[in-house]
Amino acid sequence: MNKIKRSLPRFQTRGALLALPATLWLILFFVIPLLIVLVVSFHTRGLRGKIQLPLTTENYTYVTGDIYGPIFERSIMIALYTTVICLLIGYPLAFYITTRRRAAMRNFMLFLVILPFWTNFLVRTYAWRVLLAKEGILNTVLLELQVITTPLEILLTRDAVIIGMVYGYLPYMVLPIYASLARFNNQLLQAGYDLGGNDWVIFRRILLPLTMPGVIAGCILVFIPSIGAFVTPDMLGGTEGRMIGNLIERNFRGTGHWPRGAAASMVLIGLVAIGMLIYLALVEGRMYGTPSATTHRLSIRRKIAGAIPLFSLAAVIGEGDESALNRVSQWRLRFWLSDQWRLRRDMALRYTGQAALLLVPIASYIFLWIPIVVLIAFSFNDSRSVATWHGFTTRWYDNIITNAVGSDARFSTDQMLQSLTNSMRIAVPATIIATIIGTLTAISLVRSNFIGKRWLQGLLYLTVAIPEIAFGISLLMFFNRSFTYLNEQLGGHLTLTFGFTTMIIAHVTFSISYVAIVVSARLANMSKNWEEAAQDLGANNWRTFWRVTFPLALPGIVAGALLVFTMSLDDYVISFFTSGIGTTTLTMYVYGLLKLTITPEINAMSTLMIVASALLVSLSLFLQRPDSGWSRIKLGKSLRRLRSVVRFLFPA
Amino acid sequence: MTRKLLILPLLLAFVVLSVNVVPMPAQAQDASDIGWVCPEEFAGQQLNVFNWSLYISEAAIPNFEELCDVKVVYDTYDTTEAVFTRLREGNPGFDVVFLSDFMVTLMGEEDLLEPLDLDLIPNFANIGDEFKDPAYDPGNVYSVPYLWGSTGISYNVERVDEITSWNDLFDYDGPVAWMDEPTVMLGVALLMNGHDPNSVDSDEIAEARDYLIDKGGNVRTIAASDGTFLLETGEVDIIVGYSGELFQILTNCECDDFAYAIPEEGGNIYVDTMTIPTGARNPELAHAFIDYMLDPVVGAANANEIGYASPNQVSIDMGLIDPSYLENGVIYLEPETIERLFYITQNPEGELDRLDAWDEVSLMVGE
Repeated sequence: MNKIKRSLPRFQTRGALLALPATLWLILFFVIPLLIVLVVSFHTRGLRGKIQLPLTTENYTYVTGDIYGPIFERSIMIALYTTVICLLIGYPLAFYITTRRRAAMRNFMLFLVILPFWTNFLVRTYAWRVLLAKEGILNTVLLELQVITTPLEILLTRDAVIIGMVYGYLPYMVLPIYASLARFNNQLLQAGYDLGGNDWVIFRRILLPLTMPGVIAGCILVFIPSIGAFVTPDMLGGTEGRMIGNLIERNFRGTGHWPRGAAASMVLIGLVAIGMLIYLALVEGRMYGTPSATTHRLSIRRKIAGAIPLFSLAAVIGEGDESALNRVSQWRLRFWLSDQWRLRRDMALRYTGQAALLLVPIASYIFLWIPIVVLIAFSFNDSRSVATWHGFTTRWYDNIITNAVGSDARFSTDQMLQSLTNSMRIAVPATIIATIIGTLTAISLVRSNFIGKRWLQGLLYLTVAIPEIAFGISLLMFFNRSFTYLNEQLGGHLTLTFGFTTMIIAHVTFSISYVAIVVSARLANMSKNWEEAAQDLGANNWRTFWRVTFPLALPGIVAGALLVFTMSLDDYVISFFTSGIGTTTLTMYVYGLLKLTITPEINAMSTLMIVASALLVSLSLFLQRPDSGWSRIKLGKSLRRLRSVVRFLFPA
Repeated sequence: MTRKLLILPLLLAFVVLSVNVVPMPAQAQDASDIGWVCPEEFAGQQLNVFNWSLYISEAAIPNFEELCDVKVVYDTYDTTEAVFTRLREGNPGFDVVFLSDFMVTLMGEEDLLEPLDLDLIPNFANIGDEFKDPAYDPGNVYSVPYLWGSTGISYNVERVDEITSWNDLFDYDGPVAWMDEPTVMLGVALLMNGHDPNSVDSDEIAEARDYLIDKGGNVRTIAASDGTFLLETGEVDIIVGYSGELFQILTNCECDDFAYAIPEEGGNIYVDTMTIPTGARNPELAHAFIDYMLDPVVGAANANEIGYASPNQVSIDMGLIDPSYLENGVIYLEPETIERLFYITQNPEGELDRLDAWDEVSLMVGE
């Protein structure tokens, strides 16, 4: 203890420095827009939706009243269901992935989770509608198998919203848990078994506590954003599934009621903030990395254990005699002491566990890929319809390929390819910047204490909580006003305007916290001993970081980067309000199609993206098959392998 | 071990970027079919267009680029409401923006649009008289019409008897979808209660609200813009929707399972227009582009490919519009049907009442 305390001051300065980029970034691009939302929420709506004085609290009265109140409740319930189901599916899935023996297989399995989300969001949602409709695929199959006799009404109900949201948010649960499970020290489990624990005890006492940061991170990343979701409830839920996000979005539309939308956003953010304050006060500070974490948990357990005699006493008093107490002891004896019972119980546990660990991942992969199968099927549909099947064609691919090769350019296809390029121009830099800043933040949060750490943590959660449309519009107002001011100051030497840069800034802003939360979850259960050992062996900070901290954090960094890249590809609202000239992204292009219909060409494009990513993944896994990590020798080997692959593909 | 995964997005990006380096080849459709002549020396300039995706014919932009030797940058949006928000916070450089009729009124009032110089748009003469000097933009100060359509009732003819009245929707015993257009839905309800569909009277709007809540028991969803999908998949039997959307399903399914009706009480007519926003970088070229789009050949290609009705009378007179479109009763309507249609005028006075009314309607129906 003393040694750690002595080293703290040094850590504090450095820790604060590591957190500096994120702090500055979030203050500039998040806190200021958030304040704009706050200020707007106290204004009055004028004609044509103008924001006017006098200041009023009426908007808050309205959005917490009879009309919006029940919708808030419903949104929280749906978000809760979504989180619990995601956790129940996500944990076994993450466990399954990390327990694959070969590194290549682990990476491949991880990619299978994220790959479906590199297709377009609307197209995926359409696929879900085709699946869930009354005359849809699910009902047809179930009727055919005679599981049901009348079609299930799922689409346009609350259940459809939950299915759609579980689908959409599952990666946000799996990746943090994966990050905290990856390269788990199996010796701990072995020690647990050696001490006579059964599977449940091992899971409950060793695995779960050590992966708790990942579970908590996953729950946060699913629960908070799903309260404010609006496209999924809109498209799958109908009138039954409306959520608060829909109301906020409607108020911010055109000449709607911005102060009311802002007030609803602030209530949502406030709810999350209160929840987070309670959570931070109770758990987090003690959990993340500080030496007292275990002690704290033990003390809680001792308190609970101390309460057990009280319960027994209550039981005795309640029943009026001692037989109740006897029953309790007998029950305990039977389950905990009898060897025979123990063995049977442990075997049963093991078989159920094994079955669940096999069935849940299989089922989840089917769940994740079924809409993609539908989407791919419709990319061969001989009609512009993405709702009903009209025969087989490859014409949607012909359009794309002839255009890409350059033999024949269709304007629409050209637009689509151009928008895909734009998406990449934003997603790649945004991913790199957000991953770097987020990782530094995570290291500083987990490894050090500094003034304002709690504030920074709170800020990170708030960026997850803010409804997209409120953030997009406030960022638009912020950029517009600061550009007007700055351009005046610059006096025409340089004109700042909207474009790729503003879009990248926006994407980085909403992504930093995802990386920070996932990487924190990874680092939280990593002992500081490794780093200290490296330093004792004479490594300087730089070397310690690259040789120890970075490799340890890597699964978290990769998971975070994958999430950021996926979110950036999928984002519509924030991109739209920060876009400039010639910056239409693929998602914006697809939303623009809603006026007409979404063509199967978008499905074809999505399919090609999936195939291309899958090929790249397989190729890279193949190149580094035998062992893990890059090195000069391995690089040479890989290049030779690559050469043989190329020779195989192009014999000439 | 997992580090290699980091490079994959980069690799993918590289592949995608390199695909796009291929230069643009010559166009499939020929610019020489178009009689329109680019009026001035615009060579090498750039025009920034803001429109819905694919709400233009395949050849229109490439041909314009060829005829004027300019570059067109084409960006897209999903709703004109979003454009309003976007442009109210400054125009990043759009030269031509396509807008719904009521949005022209609004943005004109807010000085977000440049007055047009109709002398630079001689093809404006091609527009049919009934589309000139419209209520939403008297004197065509800010806008010229591009395409038009109507909002009525689309339904599944196998499940629903012929629809002639809004009552057939409101009293139907089966799943239906309304549309998330408060002005249209409240307008219809006002109409059904014998009021002006654009009424600004609080009591009348409240009456319309109660009417909709009362009649909304069979509403499965209030669809943003995708009711056709639900109709096509049989999830609902009747939708309130745009004519152009229904036309899309009919073309897709090559069937006659669905029909479109403008009820006898009336329906909504909408015109999408071309405008020049305040702060446009190249208004001269924008005028030239608008003039080009009103050329009979170009206008007809747009209308035919998209499946919306053209206000370009010369295109119709010259026989350039697909005759089957003129007759199918979905896209182009009989003159007496057109008379039953109402425009949305978006009067600022009733706004707040309508907002509140629609909030309640959308949360109360269907449950």
